[in-house]
Amino acid sequence: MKAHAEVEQIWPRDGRIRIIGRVHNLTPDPDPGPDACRLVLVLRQREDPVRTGAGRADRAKGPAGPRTGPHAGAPEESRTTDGRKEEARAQEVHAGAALDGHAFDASVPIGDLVPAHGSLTGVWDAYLVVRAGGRERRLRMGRVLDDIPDKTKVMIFPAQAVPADDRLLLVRPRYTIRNNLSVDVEWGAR
Amino acid sequence: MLLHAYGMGGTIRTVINQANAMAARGHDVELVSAVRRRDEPQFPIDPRVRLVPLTDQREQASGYRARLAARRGRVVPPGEYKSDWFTRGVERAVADYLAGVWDGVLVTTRPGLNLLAARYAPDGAIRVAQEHMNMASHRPDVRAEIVRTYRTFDAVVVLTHGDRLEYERAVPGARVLRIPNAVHEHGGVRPGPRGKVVLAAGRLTEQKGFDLLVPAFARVVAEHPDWQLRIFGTGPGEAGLRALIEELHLYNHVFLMGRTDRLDDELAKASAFVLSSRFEGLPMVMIEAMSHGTPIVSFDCPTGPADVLTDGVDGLLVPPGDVPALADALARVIGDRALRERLGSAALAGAAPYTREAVTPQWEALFEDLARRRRGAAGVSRAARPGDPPAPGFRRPRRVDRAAAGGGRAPVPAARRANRDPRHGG
Repeated sequence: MKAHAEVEQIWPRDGRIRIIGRVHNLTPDPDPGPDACRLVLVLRQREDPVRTGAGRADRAKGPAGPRTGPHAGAPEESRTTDGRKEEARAQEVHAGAALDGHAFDASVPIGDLVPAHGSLTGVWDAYLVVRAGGRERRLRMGRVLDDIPDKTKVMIFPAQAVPADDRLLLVRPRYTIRNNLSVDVEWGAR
Repeated sequence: MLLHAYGMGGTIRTVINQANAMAARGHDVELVSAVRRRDEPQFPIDPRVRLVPLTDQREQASGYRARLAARRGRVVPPGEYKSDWFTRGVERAVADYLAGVWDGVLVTTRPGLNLLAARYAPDGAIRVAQEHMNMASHRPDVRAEIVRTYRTFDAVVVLTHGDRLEYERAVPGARVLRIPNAVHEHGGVRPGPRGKVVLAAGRLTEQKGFDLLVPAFARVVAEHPDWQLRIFGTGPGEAGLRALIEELHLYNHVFLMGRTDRLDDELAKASAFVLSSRFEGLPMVMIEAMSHGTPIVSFDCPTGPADVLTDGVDGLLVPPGDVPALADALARVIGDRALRERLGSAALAGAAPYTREAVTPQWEALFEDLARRRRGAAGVSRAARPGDPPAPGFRRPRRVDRAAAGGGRAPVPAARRANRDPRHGG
């Protein structure tokens, strides 16, 4: 079984999304230094909105150099009118995570999840970055080790609202059809 | 006769089980569904059982038919919980069918159908009214009709001892018997390792009290954060329960599981079953849980739980509606493995009187007794036909052209049609 970050609890409250779980099938380095463990959210490209889970995980294994700030992975060009043009790399959001042995505890402010470029809505795929064997590993977050096969209909989490352009964006964590963790950003009802 | 043999639900399931059991023992069984809203039944039906739908509502009717369908029936009072289903068209189809039942045993299985049987079934048939609900749960208009009509049945069959006393008191002169529903057989699902899971199951309606269970479980989670509550079922209460779960921040601990066709497996791997109903007839899922050796925590609601369980022996009973008491009882069971094992093995034994082997002979004895009384009273038996094994009194009359009727209304024999216009059956 491939290494992954097994999600145990998700707490969408107080303006943050907190994710608690355990690293599975991989032993993280004991003393990796500050910022070695991070929560990374990768915005899905508009061109392939139906892709989920494993397909994305492969694409996201690119070089993971040092980054700073919440939108460190964003492309250089500013928002274009149709929002889908010319984006060389996927937008990423990085947030702090604590690691204790295999147990992780990560949290991101929902305000960071409004895409900085292109459309204000989208789908973020969640990863946990850890150091193991001296190198950085990016693990897809998901919940696959329990006996509930189809979480997308059973484990449903509340949305939190972020004001944007006189409207509300709803930020809601959810499981994909492959039981991986993603976060939807959608317009709320007017 | 069921209102909707194609639906989900405890009554439907147990009546189908009962029909299958009778057919398996050589009886000639017809299962009548007043309404058909699905293509296929949701529970397996023995091929020897003839399934006869009386009205077909699978397609959205429009125009005149829709207006007709929306008109309320004239026999079943509005207080019947399913009175919406008893439209004039349905009442008329049931009346037409009943008019053709002139021997055998007719068993109707809910108040609306019982009231129609009391009115339209000819005297020739042995008529048995089955009641899956306790008397006090019926609304006043339904109760009044029950008091007025149930004495005309050859027998009224209820599910619990408490119900028997209540119906006897309410309907003097009625012959009331208690025959519990049989729990369905689970083909030997062995309890495997049990998870830190408390299970509840039922339609998501106010009756099932899940709105009381969720706050109770919030108290449990504070003490036992690694335990989950899984609620199986669907229904109109889903959005309200979801909102309650969000409000109490229980989205990591309480899960609305939806429908499952593997409830036996789920019951076998849960560490406890909880019943939070405001009222019940006889809670069959609870007895199924017992048959898996799963410990029970239940409100002592009317009626059923106290009929089946002895508090502290094969389950824990708490005062109905008492949320803190339910939470305490759940925490007790969760925190005490030895208690769970003790309650579980006692529950297994407690479910024995509800097996098919224990229940079906009670029905046979009742039907034989009623047939014997009929024969004795009439001197001549209409039901006893030569060569009718094994119980001549149960045979159905041959009715004209049933197969050709398809999903439509059951035709009435020509002889009857002559002296009774079926279009004004209601």
